[in-house]
Amino acid sequence: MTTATQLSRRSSVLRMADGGIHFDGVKAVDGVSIEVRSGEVLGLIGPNGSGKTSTLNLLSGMLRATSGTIWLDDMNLTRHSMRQRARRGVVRTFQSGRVFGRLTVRENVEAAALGAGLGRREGRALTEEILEELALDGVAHDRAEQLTAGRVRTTAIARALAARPRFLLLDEPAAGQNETEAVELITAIRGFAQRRECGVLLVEHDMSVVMGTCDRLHVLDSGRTVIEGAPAAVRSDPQVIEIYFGKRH
Amino acid sequence: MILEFLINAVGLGALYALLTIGVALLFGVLGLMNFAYGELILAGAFAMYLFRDQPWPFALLMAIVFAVVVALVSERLAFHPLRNADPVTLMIASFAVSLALQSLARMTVLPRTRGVPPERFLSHRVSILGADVSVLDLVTLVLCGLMLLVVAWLMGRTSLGIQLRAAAEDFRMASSLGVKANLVIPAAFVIVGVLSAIGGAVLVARQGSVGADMGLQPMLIGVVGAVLGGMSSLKGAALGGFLLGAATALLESLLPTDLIAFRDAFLFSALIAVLVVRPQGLLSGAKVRVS
Repeated sequence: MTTATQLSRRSSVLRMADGGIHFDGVKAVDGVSIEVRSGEVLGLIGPNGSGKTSTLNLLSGMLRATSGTIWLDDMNLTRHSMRQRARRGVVRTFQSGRVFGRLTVRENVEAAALGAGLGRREGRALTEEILEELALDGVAHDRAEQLTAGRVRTTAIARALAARPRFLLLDEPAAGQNETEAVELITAIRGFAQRRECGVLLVEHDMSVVMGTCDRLHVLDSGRTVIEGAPAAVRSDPQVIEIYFGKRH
Repeated sequence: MILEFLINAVGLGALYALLTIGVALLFGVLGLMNFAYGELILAGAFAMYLFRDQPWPFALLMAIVFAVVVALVSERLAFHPLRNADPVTLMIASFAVSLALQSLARMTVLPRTRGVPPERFLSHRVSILGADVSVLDLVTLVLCGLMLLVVAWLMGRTSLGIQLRAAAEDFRMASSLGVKANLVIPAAFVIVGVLSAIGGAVLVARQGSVGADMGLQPMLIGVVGAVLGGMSSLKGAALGGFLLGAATALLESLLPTDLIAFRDAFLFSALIAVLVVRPQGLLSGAKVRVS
């Protein structure tokens, strides 16, 4: 019998080619090319106002690109709505967690698994697995409206994972948590996503968090790509040190 | 005496709770304040009249069939085309459906109120722990209590229930997660049809007649109970309905005969007092957002 953990998909790529968006003449994202591959965690980093969330919004369909194209393998998603992209497996979470407050944590996750077309038994198995991995099993029977802000965010992520995404776009999933908690959460997401060959795009402002948890990093500044590569290479790049580390230290 | 009162009060409370759940479920899932709810009760009640010579359980089954069919047809013809309309448009559409069904009933099958002789076994009285209890009160309590348990099981323990509650709380978010509108909306109408049929059957047995406008009062009870408990919470709505029913029974027992005519005035004054303190209803909570 196929279990939830054994479900796997063919390798795919979500990419934006030369994408951009302008707000009242201001180029929030300007000719950025970025790609996420299935099974990897790509960290999208940069200082405040560098275009990280706008890039995530372009990929998820929350914003329509004023230039460039967005592809899921050979399918052009540029004109697809957020819901259409979600149906294709491109799922996002919001920086502000949003959950069904009167449902328990388990029911929140299970609702997404059922919505993704899983049967009750399969949905429950997947739900239990996600709750355990994201350390939510202790609060599984609590109503979501009774949770702390951090747990609400984690529940929203758990729910996104239960939707069985091919690509998961996370906007600062560990906001408000300390570094250890943040690394634990992202490591759990990473393990879960890798087993399902799900690609993860992680918007995060804290460099120390992304360094140990991401396979690759993509650095933005003023809406443009600065560098893209392995964490070690990015960390030692003089331009990154100048625009990012230089500003913080 | 106390046991008799308790059975009457809890039974009436359970009946009102059924009525309010029907209102709150459609309000949650569709944003629909369904004023045509009374006509679903009427459809069930009319089936009880039509099959009055058949065994009571069969008539009850037919009442469920009638009310569910009317619920699904009204969903398909009136509410489905307006699925993305704002709540005010939906509410006006439900008025139209209500008036159309009521007029249709008056023109065709119910030009005047029809008497429905009480089922013989319902008019009996039995002795329980020394108290003289009406079988009708017992059946009301058992049937409505059982239905509440079924609804609680359906909502709490089944996949459909989880999806319905998710959709009732935030329909847009639920549909963005893949919860299918074409599953939950007709399912909600079916549940509402069943609840209103049971309500209609019990009301016919209690009042002994069926008229084209008989759905108006239970519909108002449903709306008031749901507002009292909290429109956005099914549990709250059930609690609101239950309290309304129990308070009605209490007032009927306690008020002097010459004040019973003013029962509703006392009841709704109490309701206003509750809503002044908790305008969102007894159990309604805010949606969780973290920013």
